[in-house]
Amino acid sequence: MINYIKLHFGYVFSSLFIIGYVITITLISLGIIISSNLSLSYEVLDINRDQYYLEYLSQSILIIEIIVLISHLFMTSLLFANANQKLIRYCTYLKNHQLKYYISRIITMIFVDLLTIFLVFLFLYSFTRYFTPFYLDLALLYQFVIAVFLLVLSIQAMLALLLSLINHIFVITLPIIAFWYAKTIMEFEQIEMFSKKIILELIPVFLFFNNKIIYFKNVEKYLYQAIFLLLLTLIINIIKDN
Amino acid sequence: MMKESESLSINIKNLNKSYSRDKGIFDINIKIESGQLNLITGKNGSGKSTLLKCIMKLVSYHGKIEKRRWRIGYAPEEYVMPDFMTVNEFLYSMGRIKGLDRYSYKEYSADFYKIFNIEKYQNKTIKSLSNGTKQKINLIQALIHEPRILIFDEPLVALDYSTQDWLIKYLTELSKTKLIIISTHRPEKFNSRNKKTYIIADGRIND
Repeated sequence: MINYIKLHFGYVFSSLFIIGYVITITLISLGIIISSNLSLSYEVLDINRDQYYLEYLSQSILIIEIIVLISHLFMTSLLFANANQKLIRYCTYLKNHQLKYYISRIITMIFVDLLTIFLVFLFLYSFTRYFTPFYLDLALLYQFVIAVFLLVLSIQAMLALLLSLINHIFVITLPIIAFWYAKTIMEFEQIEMFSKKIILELIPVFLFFNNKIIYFKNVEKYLYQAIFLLLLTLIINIIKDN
Repeated sequence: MMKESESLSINIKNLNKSYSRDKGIFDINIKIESGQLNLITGKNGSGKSTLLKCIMKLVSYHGKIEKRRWRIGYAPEEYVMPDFMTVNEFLYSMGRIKGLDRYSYKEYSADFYKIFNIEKYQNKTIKSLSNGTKQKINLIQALIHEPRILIFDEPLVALDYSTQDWLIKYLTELSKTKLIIISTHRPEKFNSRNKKTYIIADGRIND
């Protein structure tokens, strides 16, 4: 399995992708620095800590969400694109090896997600701790890590399924539009519009309220949903012609 | 353990794979054996590549393809190697996936680099190679794990005349101990006495 993962890594981590990846991490870091309002001076922030803290945290998380999601959707489209699908022709003729190929592709995707999320949250935590007067609760940070990971994974799972069914790069716009639409929802109660309900059922967007992360439905249901979509993608990949 | 001299065969019975009413392959019944070059020829779209893909289980089909679990090496017509990997990285991945340990890989790859005369391209990215060199890499990845069965889809494409002649001799030599299936538009180039040509037209084989 590890050799299949290495092959996918070799496929994804081209020099162009590495440049894009570094730019992504740099953009997020810059976004976090700017959101901190450090330009106002450490002392000003320290005096008005409560006022600036919430703004800093919610803006930083929003930046992380958007940039990680969009960059990782591109990574998913690379992994599930036609060219990568055809790589299986080189791998083997045994069905169980083909299964390994497809499973390792999903593992690669999740591994890169975790790597990025780890890097950006490590930066957020370190920067907050050493350069700002704010206190970032580790338990809360941990919840944010899970929330962002789940959001990215769910939308990637949708994209992977769409790409397996309709092999066209244009489908990448669909999950981005869905995410954008979901982000316009500011509260989860009294939602009457059917389209909003559907979006919230599918995409685990979260709200940060009273120092808590709130989801539209149980967080585990979103996880099972993402796993189901990935399994469905796996089955489609196995049965479809190459 | 199987001996190199043991005869190998693939028995294809009632094989059907249809993309539409008149596109695909229909009622293929052949037995392909080792000890000879097995050439599959026919016009564009006649079903040559589809037949090879069925043997490789890359497409779904109806019918039976009987073969033992011998190692198979397959070189597709279309190169789908990752552009940004170096030749060595790609072949190493392929070798490891196909069951070679790193020492065997080193030994075999050194041989193949020499045989195919591409030693100087080892550390070049695939993107930077000419189509002829890409074709050589395409062939090496099929050979790297010493398979008993070799399936080549248009192996002469993109190669210059002298390399084509050399490759034909090389494959003819390999066909003495391995089962080789080659799809080609130019069966006359293979002037071996030990060859069997299957002509495929409109998805059917006229043996």
